[in-house]
Amino acid sequence: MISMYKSKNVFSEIMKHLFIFFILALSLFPFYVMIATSGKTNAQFVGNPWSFMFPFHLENYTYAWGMVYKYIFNTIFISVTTIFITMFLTLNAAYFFARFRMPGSRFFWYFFLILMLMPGVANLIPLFVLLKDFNLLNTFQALIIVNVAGGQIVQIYILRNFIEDIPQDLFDAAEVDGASHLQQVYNIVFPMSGSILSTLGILQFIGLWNDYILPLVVIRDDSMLPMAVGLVRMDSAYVKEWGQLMAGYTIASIPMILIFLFTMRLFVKGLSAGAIKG
Amino acid sequence: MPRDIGYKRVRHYWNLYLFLLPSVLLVAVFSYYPAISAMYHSFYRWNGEDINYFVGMENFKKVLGVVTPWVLLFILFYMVIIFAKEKNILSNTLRFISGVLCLALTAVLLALKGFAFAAPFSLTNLYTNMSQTVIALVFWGFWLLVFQFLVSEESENKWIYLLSTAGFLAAALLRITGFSAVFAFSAIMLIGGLAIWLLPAMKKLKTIEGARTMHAFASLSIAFWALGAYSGGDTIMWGGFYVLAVLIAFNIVKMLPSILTAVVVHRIKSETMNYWYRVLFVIPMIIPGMVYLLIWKFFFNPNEGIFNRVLVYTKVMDILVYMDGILGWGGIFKTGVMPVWLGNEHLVLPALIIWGFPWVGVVGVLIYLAGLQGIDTSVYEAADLDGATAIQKFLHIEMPLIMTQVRINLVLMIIGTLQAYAHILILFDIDGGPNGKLMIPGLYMFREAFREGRAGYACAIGLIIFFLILILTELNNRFIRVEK
Repeated sequence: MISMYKSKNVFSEIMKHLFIFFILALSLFPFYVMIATSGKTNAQFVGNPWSFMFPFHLENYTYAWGMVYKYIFNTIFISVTTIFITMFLTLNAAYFFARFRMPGSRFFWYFFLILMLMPGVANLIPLFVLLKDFNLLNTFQALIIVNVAGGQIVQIYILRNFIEDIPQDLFDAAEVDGASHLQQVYNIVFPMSGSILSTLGILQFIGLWNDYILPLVVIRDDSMLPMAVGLVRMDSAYVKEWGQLMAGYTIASIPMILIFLFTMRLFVKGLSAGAIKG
Repeated sequence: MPRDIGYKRVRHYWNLYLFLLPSVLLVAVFSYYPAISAMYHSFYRWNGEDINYFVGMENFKKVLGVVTPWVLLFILFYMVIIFAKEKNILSNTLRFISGVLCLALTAVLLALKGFAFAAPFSLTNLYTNMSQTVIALVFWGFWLLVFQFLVSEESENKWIYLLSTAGFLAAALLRITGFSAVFAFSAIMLIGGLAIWLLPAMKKLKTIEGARTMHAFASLSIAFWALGAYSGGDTIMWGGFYVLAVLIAFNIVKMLPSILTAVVVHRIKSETMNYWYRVLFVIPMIIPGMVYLLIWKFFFNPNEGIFNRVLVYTKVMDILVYMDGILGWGGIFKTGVMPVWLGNEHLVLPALIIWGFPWVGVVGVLIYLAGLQGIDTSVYEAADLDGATAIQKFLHIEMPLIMTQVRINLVLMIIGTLQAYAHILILFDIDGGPNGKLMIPGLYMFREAFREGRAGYACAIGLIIFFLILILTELNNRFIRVEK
């Protein structure tokens, strides 16, 4: 009786693993095809689209690198600048909201909070005109400044809750020692909120890496396009040599994979713990 | 605890405001100013540059047709939301009025347009609308099942809740026999509404506010639909809402794989495997979404793409060809011809629904897993002793725990579907695919502004989407509280 129960258990465990493998295989299949195709010529691909083939044409990668490297550097520049400026602004603002209740702080709090509820669909057109009036069209500054303005709201909301949990004694001690507010932000809050800041930064990075509509509207020069728009343009402009295209997609994914490798533990934990719930 | 600094001491602490200043300035200039400017310019004829003059309600008239009923409808929507959870006479009356008023509005519109009977009842209708019959039955049957499981708390009133979905099923059937859709749905809603108001009073049931609210919302939605179809507004815009409705319906179904995956991962006993599965499920997230979308675009390529090859290889294509034969799809699928998924006007909507198969949202899976972590193993052991099957465990142990997350994801999904249009812009072009089949409102706004040079009109469209999303967000905040 007991052995029967056990064997049924083992069977159901195996079924669960099989189910997960099946789902995982299906979700990862596109990426498998991407990498497999990236080393093929068109003739090889038509002959056998399913598996890796030899010779693996690494020259596809050199060619693709020539197409996408500028997009990658543009995006890295834009996102790193955006993330650092956002971090700087959010830390200060969250510190203000978490530590002081001054005349107007409630007003400003809702001033930010309402924006989380307001959908931004209608904003695009006036934003474009505004950027044109500021002479910011076709510059990186336009993308950076708009993304900073939009990105800081959720971060202020999350960071405020975090800073409120920092023990008050730390701030008191710092004040006795004569630390200014700015020093308190950068010597107490900043070191303590490292994990949450990096999670927020990575999430913002993912968002920026996929940002499409705003750069499409703002940037004109091909050499200044960020990743997402560049890839789409590549997809439609070049002669369809699938291997090169897929090699380009693979290269475009590598920076994110690198970041993920460095922060995997933190990220899986942070997401599972519900940091993303906001 | 934040430190209080009153008005008297502000003079000494004014420099604290400097911490806030840059953020406030940025938000004011790049978030508030565009929003206000959009509202302002929706009353203007504007091309984004030199042409800019006041035209009053002209833009809104062009989008909405008759403006007044829309304004009334929005106010009613909002009132119903405000009073939805209360159980006093005022809110009950309001719900009743909104239901009746909306149906009356629909009736008046129908009478004006003479749309009450598209065709009299006949069996040939039933036959020619065969595929519609199948779809309607499957769809509303699915909803019936969903509600059966969702509304389990107040079992006494369960049949009343079920009534509203059953009503939809009946309306779908009525529609198939040849009545116009709006007539069928509003007639059934009227009957169902009377039942919801009279029967509980006779049986002296106490809590049926949920059913009444649901009914009020349903009749509001039908009024919305009728207005969109018959008020003489912009047909492209309202056609776009039809596409959105279909997409939302399918996106709800597409939430299931994530839930199932999360539950199965949670049930796996081995801790290390559990961890590794989580890591593996993060991989699709770190590959940029844009790359994923473009790979799918490549999959859909008719001759070289993988998708058609998989269909042929797994013999699904033969089934599709066979179904084309009996259901009369007009030869979309033929033996030996590869369907052009992104170029055939009958296939673009299915393609938009299929892409991303198996639809396991990584963030979704991780959030559900976080919700499931609260279950103690002893609960499972107790369930095992009672002889609960896997499905029973799912319905009674796991489902209740992730219900909050499911609801949040549902509302976020609906809001996201309403305002996202970048993927359509990439997969199909700025015209929304062949014949403008997928011209959803967001994309329409984008095209009007940046290609046709009608920025003022685009602002008006954007504003309407904005108000819809605002209503949904308000619903979300009122009914779906996150327990922190």
